[in-house]
Amino acid sequence: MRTTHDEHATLPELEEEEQVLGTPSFEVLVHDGRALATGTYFMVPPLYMRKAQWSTEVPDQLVIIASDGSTWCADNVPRVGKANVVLRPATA
Amino acid sequence: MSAQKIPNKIWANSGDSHFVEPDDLFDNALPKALADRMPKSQKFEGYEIVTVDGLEFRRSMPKPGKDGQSMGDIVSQRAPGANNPELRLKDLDEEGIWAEVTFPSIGIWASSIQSRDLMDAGVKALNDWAHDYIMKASPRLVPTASLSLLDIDDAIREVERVAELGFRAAFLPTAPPKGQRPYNDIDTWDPLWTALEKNNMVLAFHIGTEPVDASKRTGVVFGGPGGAVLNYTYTTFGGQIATMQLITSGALDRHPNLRVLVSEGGATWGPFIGDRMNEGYRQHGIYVRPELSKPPKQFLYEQVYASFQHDESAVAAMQHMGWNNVMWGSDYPHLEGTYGHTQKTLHELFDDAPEAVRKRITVGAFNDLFPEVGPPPADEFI
Repeated sequence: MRTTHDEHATLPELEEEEQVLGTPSFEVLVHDGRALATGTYFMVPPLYMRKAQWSTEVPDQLVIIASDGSTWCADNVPRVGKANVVLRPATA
Repeated sequence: MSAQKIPNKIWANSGDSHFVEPDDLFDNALPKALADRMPKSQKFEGYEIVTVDGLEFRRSMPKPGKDGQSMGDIVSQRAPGANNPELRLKDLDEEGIWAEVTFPSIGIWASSIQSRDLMDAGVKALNDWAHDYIMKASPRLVPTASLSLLDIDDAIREVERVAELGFRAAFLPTAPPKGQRPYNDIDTWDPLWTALEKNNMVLAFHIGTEPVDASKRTGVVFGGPGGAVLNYTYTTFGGQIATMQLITSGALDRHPNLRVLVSEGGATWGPFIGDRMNEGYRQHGIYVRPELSKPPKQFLYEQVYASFQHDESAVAAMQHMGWNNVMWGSDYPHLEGTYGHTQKTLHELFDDAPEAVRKRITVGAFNDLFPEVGPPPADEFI
């Protein structure tokens, strides 16, 4: 069995470029003020929406409780029409 | 503007998903002399040595960034159901996927096998594993059978064998292996199409599966700026070419009950390719052979199905261009798929579409091919 770098040096070599995952993101699709569905991109494990509510303290702030219990939010979310909103972790 | 109520959760079948086989599958299933010739990787610092069917290659290890994991490791870890049916069904329930066609992940090195005995033994072992591990786990999982195309008689025998096991689809690469005639060669391929039709098995192409020369870089046609998107988009075309080869050679004419699925390649290409074939068939009729009993596009519309993940225009291919066989697919657990955002994707695609269009693309087209999976849970509304 070949085990050293030198012994392998003469074999046909295949190049691989650096593989990079995309930018992690947790997003919610909002339609006329209703949080229809969330989606995570490049997050491990993925998060799912368990509850959505409008903030009682910050106008037009949407608050999402995720499947792992974490709280996420987005500001200036339109209540009319469709919007894809990127969420951010809510500060305590 | 949405014209109907939108369900909270959109259930869909997937015409394109994948299982990741265990590393020791062939060691456990094959005699040592054969198992030793199947694709194997030894990892060293910064590179790996891949051996397959007597060939040996040194390959620089992929650099995913900070933690040194391979992309395969990342896929398996981000989606534990990639190689575990129980965990997979939990993911499917959460994502809103009812049933799925699953393709193998054995990968690029399979096409480097040139020995008939090794390939034949390998696909049998792979299919037996898929039968025992995937098919038996749930009727919602529809594994595709792999075939050795190095010898058509071997492929036909395997079709007959796996049909007895209950397989309903056979996976073919979008181009035949080295040494075989192209898919429009009637004498070579018609016996296999006959066997698939006779056994009520769907001919399932998955894009990006053209055989590769193991001595060259894999999956990379374009380099330099834009290479990633160029290469990804380029993978789409093989399924279109295979489809055209089947139609123009008369395979679908001779086998009216044969159904073809082209997975992961989008869907809007169907109307476009259909139009181009019709134009060629009529305007270049003097050169056309064999003659067909119907225009080429009609065979495509009636016997070919196609799955897509995110493509915004795919819904229009059914809704506005009349191709009724457009099917959604998740590509679970792959990175270009919808895992983690399936519901958001389905809402983006279908909230403005008529209910009949949504149900046809998410459920109906799949159930044409695989009615045995049954209906998904009913829509739920607030």
